[in-house]
Amino acid sequence: MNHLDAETIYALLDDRVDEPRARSLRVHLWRCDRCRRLRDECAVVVGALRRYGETTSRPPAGYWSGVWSRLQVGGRDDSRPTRRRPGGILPPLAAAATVLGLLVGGWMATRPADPEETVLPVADAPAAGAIGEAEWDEQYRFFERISVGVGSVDPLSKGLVLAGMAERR
Amino acid sequence: MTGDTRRRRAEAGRSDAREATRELVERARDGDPRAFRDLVTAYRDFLYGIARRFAGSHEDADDVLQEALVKIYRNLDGLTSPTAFYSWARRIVVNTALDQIRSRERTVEFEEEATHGQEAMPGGFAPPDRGVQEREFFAHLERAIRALPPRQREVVLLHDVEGLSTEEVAERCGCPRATVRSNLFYGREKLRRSLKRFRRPGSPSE
Repeated sequence: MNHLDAETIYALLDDRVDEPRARSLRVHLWRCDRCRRLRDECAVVVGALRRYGETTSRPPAGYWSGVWSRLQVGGRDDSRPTRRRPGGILPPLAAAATVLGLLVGGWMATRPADPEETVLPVADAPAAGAIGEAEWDEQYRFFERISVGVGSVDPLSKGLVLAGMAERR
Repeated sequence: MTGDTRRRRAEAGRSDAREATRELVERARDGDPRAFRDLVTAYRDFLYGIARRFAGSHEDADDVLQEALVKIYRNLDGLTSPTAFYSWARRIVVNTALDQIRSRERTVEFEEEATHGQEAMPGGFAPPDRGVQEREFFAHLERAIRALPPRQREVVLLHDVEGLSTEEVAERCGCPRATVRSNLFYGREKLRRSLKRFRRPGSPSE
């Protein structure tokens, strides 16, 4: 019998060879040092991968408290775990609100007066910590658009948001 | 204590654990973040271990785990059997890690190290079972897995590390079984060659 190739040996190790053929391969392995060494190497690879699957890696000390802190889970006011942006949610939202106020204020000052002003009832705005990911993303995208279009956003807020963008990517 | 008593106590313990898991899942579904944290804490070493093995580094495992935890929390309503939380969460971690592997489409530059002067024992690999050498062997193996092309890495991890059958891997990867087998073969062969620094003199060359 010719020497065995690695593919055949892996098939043997995986029990993918029918019994009569497996028996003849085992006889050859018993007689042939070279093929036996190759079989041993293949078996070490397969065995090591299995053992690797059983290993339990431990993260560095303090890792989990960092995870919970970043995900904002476990505090009294947390309603959903979300990835926290650097500096928290308030500075970019405050900057966005300021810019929005300026834009809306400018538009209000220049628009023609309505013949009849209607006051609509509004719900209370949710607390910052209770804003869900979808809402946050909406506000974030808004801020991203205006921070690109308006050069006068304060550098700290812009930096925080851009850092958040980098983190997201 | 008789074997029967021991079995009854073990079963009672398992039953308590299942009940505790079910209760935590219910509370987390109702929006209790503390319950969610307690739930994950019970399995955190296992979940981190899976993320680490698939991601290949602590930094990437951290990314995978954070994303997976958000998915787990958001999809708790889709968990049909609360007591099966761990296997369900494990699947989410694995899928998130596989997404990361596929999206990156890159392999870490990995240089096979020269074998000259590093052989330890005659014949085959040196067995990875002795202290420092074992740690070195598995660290090397981890880097070698990380350096595999995405599809080979995925197949090797699912088949050899997670213990899935060829059929299950094919289903998970959405490819034919023959593709799984060829990727498994090429992946294993790359790992075998990359581990040649642990090879003993007189082993087959390729």
